Amino acid sequence: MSTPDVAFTSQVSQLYRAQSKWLHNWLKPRVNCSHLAADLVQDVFVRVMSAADAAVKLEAVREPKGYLATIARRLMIDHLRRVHLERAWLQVLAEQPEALDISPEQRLALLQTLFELDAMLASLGPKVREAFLLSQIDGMPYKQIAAQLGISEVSVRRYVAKAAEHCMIYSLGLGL
Amino acid sequence: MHLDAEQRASLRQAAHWFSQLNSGDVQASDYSAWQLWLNATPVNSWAWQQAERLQTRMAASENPASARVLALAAHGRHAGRRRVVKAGLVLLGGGALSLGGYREVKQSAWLADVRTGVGEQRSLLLNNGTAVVLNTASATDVGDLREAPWLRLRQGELMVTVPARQTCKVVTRNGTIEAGESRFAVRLFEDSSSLEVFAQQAQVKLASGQTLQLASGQRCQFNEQGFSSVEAVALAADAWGQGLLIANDQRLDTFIANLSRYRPGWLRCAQSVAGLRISGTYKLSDTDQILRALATSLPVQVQARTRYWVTVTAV
Repeated sequence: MSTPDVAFTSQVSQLYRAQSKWLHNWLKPRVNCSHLAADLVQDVFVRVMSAADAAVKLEAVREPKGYLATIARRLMIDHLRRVHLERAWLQVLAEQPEALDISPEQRLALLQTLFELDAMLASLGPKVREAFLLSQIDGMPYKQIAAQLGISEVSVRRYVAKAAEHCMIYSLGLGL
Repeated sequence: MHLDAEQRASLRQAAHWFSQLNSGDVQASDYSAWQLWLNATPVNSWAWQQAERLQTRMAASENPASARVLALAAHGRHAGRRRVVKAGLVLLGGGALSLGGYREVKQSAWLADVRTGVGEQRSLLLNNGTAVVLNTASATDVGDLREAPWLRLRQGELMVTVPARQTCKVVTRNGTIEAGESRFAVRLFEDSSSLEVFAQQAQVKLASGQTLQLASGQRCQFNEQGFSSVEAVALAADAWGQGLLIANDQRLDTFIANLSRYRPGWLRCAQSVAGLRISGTYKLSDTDQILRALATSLPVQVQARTRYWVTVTAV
């Protein structure tokens, strides 16, 4: 192990010793579950250690609590999104089990894809999002989407374009 | 990745064409106009590659249920907390939902965990129809995306009812239980686990490869070293699965030890009354009531210094 690695590791463990308890107490009332808070604390430190340029970033941190809370907030949002998606999945599984009657590998892959899509589409307005999904996933022609959503075909055209632009920029930003 | 103004402009145009060509109402003239745009600059064709990648990604989610899942997920976020009642994995009377197989991807157990507090029980219904009851002060991970679901018992006790033509696996730190159609309970002790079979049969497999098959009415204790001798399960040992504690001419200290699992705090009985015999059927949901009933049916008194410190002594 090279010298900077040693320095980085001891820096992280120092941060962990100094702040993990505080972070747990910060998270607990927010997620309303001590176990979940404890797991998120671990996840936060995993993020701290695995971030691109982790050592540089850590070096630059002036306010460790703020830094950790920012990561924790992001993880909480991810967690919530996943919970909602899993609930939705289970509900649909009950409604139309035949649609999800696919191999376990396919299910796992589909669920992961849906999670990524859900994150990608999260910041879009509900109508934009819905129009895009009806078009792209259900393959519905715009005329039908317009009728279903009670909007004009021109709007559907605009919404799909807006969503597509957002998704392309989002994917490029993640290096996907 | 930083995008320059030209790239952004091209992406916007690509999005416009993406929308145009997906409308379901494309004219030949649209195609030729798109071709012209595509070949106009290298940045345009780069932008169109991004659109194609998006289309590929969307195609990966092609499933009759996908759009509905995403719509519900978004609705769930907006509507705040809501409970799924009809679901493949139904959690009765609990808050957490789990999809263990899914979480495996992230190798994080916390979402898969289902826990109960002292005096609490929870029922789960797995995708293949296997019913699970988690007893008091217990915790398990649930892997429910594979064909055969698995449970990893981390604490306490659970009862599993596997329907016909299905299988289920329960893993503890001491070994693995595998069963087809059956009903059985697994409990974790300090340095061993127990298996009690109530219907059909189940098999324990140790890390060493040793296996032991138990039939209905049999129980055994096991850890890494091996198996205990096979015994008969106690009468009504599975009553807790119905939320009941059934005693049939049971020693009072044994009864109290059982009861204390369902009650937070300290509950003991004095040596002088330990050997008294008790029979009856009690509801675990109200341990206070059980203690009151004790005092009326046996020559004992229940001394409660606080709700959490209770001693059963001679009158």
